[in-house]
Amino acid sequence: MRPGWSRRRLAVAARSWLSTSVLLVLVAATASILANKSITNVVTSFLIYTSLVVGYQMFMGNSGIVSFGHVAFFGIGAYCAALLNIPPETKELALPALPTFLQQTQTGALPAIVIAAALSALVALVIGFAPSRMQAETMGIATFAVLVIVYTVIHNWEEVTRGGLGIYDIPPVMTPVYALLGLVIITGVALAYKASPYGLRIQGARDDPLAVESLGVHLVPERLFCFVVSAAVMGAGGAMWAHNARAFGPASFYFRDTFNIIAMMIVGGSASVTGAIVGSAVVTVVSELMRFAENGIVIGMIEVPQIHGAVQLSVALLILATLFLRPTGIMGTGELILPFSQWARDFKKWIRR
Amino acid sequence: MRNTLRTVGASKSFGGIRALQEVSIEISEGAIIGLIGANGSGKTTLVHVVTGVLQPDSGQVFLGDTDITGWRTDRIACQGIGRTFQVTRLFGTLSVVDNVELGVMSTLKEKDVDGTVKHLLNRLKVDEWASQGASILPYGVQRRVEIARALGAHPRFLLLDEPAAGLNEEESHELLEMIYGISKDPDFGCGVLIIDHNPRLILRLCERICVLDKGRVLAEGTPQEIRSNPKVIEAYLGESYASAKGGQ
Amino acid sequence: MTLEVFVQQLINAISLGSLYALLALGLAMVYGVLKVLNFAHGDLVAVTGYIMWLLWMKGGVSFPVAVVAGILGATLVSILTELIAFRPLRKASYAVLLISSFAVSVIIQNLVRLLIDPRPQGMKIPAVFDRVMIIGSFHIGFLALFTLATCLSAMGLLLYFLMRTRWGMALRAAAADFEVARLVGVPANSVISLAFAVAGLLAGIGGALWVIRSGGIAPTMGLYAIITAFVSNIIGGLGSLVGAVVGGLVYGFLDIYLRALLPAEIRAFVQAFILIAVVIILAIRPQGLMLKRREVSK
Repeated sequence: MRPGWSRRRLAVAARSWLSTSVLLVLVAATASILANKSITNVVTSFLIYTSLVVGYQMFMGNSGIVSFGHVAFFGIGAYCAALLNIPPETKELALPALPTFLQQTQTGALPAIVIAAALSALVALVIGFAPSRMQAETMGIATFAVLVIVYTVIHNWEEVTRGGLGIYDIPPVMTPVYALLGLVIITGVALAYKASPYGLRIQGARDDPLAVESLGVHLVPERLFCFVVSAAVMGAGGAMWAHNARAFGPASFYFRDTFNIIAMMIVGGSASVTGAIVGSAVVTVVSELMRFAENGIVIGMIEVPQIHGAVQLSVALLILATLFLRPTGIMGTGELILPFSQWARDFKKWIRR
Repeated sequence: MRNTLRTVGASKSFGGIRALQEVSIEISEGAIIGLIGANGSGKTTLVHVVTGVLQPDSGQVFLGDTDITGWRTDRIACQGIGRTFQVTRLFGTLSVVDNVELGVMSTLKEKDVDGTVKHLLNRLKVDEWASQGASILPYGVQRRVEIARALGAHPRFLLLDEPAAGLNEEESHELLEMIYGISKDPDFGCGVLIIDHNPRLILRLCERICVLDKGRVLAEGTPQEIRSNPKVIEAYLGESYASAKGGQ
Repeated sequence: MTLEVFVQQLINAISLGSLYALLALGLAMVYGVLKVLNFAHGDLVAVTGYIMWLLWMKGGVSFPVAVVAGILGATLVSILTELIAFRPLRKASYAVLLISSFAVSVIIQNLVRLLIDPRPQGMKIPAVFDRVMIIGSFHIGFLALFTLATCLSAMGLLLYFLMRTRWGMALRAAAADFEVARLVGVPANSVISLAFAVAGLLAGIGGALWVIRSGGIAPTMGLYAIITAFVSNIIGGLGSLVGAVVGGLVYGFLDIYLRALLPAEIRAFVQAFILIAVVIILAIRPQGLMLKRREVSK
């Protein structure tokens, strides 16, 4: 075992990973079997968006710092992947001012995802340096600056992003299986980080920074590392998202999505990776239901008028309900661990009958 | 030549309050030193200064020949100085095992984390509490978990700030015996500084004792010397000691 | 930039800076007592704006009355926010309270969308604010002077309140050490409500000025206000009232001067440049301009 790592913690993390993966496979399999196009789309979108929530959980859940800037890395990843993988013909038309090497390249989805993650990590490293040196409370709001800077750049750098017009024609690569694979890998990374010495040390700092320092841990590099790794995950998630959404603009990476992702994480349980997944599911369901109210529906003779803001109001109330009634979220601080060995034993007994 | 941890003329004031005045104290590796004094005499401030939580206004802190005055807390801790706190600072959202693991994993040098954690839980007699959340432990258990955590990185010096506060007679005795055993343990042997404002237990356990009074060193020496020091008896031991002696 | 332009912009910078300082102060008041940042503070600006709009544009009420009503409305909403979102969570952690206030902010924004109108609206501003005074070769807008005068007065009154009145001193005591203040008899709930009321008042005044300056309202207008308040506080040093003021002034100066300095092609990116400048300041002094690298408590 590598020095400083705990075999026990990794074993527990591995069991959680297996359990959540099995559950996710069931969800994706059901969607594939049903072969209904809209269900497939919903499930694929859900799996991809959940990757973003898990990426955010890696930072906020472990460090306890509410970052308002992570969605910026979602955006960087999405635009990076788009610029790398949109067909050259479209780029010539839509982005004539792009440098030639970029315009003529089409890297394929997987390299685009990897490069997107790397770029996000790099930006996080540069821009995260100053916030990491602050107190925990101030670091969170300093990340606001990150969000606004990135949004402003994306919105105004028209030669590269088409600004407010948005970017389009990203190849539709994401299937439920690929989305599942992406989420499973990202969940593994998140659980591994949580079980690692880095994860544990920053969890301690969440509770008591002074006590952690008195054990010999320097918090600045620890926080920066957490920031960079979670940003890389957001970048990868953003790249996957771009290949699913196929067209988007800067508004997708600003306050509305910051709010949604925070909501999903809080409702599910901020200290838990499984919680991020569960929370994502719950908030998605609530949002989709309330979307009917927001758009106005006609039930037989009754016409329900548009209720502006219904979706966001319900999500906000969901957050408040969680914080008032069960602040640690649905999963609390625990992870899902399915008792496979117990099931195996029960199964054997049942067979012998 | 054994390593020592010492302060030389450390002084610290807060506004108008002079918490420490020219305090010089020395702990050698493997020794058990007691630090006693009334509340407010500067004991915790001294520990804060040694561990880098506070910067002294004047004076120095030395580890061996290295001047560690003004170093960051984590840097000093990495040099092998561990501590516990007057009011326990456990990681409340984590379990007992997690807390001790953090202590062991903190320096990224331990190859057998799980084994060391198990050993520490056993040594400090907190195994049965292993998976409990740290925020709901009985007081005595909290104290022992904090000590186990501080021992995780095999410190060369361990500074314990009132480890027996709030414990009854029997529990205090048991705890101090445990501490004595640990300090002499070849695996975890370290120099120990114990702070307490109850002199009886310190006088029994420690090899040398330092008495602080209003931020100054009032006396320093073996338990015998302290017991018979007229200044100490007058200022501090006086009533409490006389009544204790009467009770023996 | 010529000296002339520099001086010309100086009054604008001080004026905008004082407005930002006022908004930052409101946030700092609540942080001082509760040690928590109220995300919904920015939306008080929207509340003020919408009340003004409803009364002045839709209701035919005179402008000064609409402004006063807006300010009172913001104060009321601020006190209500505390009762609904903060008091039940009194013992919760910093992150929980911050997220809770984030949720409240979204609720306020969407209630405005739902109950009034989701689209941005324009406001006709009384012509007096467009007047420009010409002194030598300098053009000084009446609005800039008015903003500066109002903010300075508000800050002066706040200072008097904090230093010379019983409740003000109770507030300062609670900000310095809440537990000790309670022990000497300062009523906790009242003092917290007072802090929120003062914050609401400051936000209301700032909000009215903001709306007069921008000439329009939108449900999400509070976002820029809260970013301003947050950033001003961390520039100056979170936890210090003086820091809030200094931070607001610095932010205002960065805004005006970067806008004036940047070449036209990249002026659209000015917001990014301002914040990059902020990040650089924080890289050099993470604790903020007015605070020393803090020594740890207890």
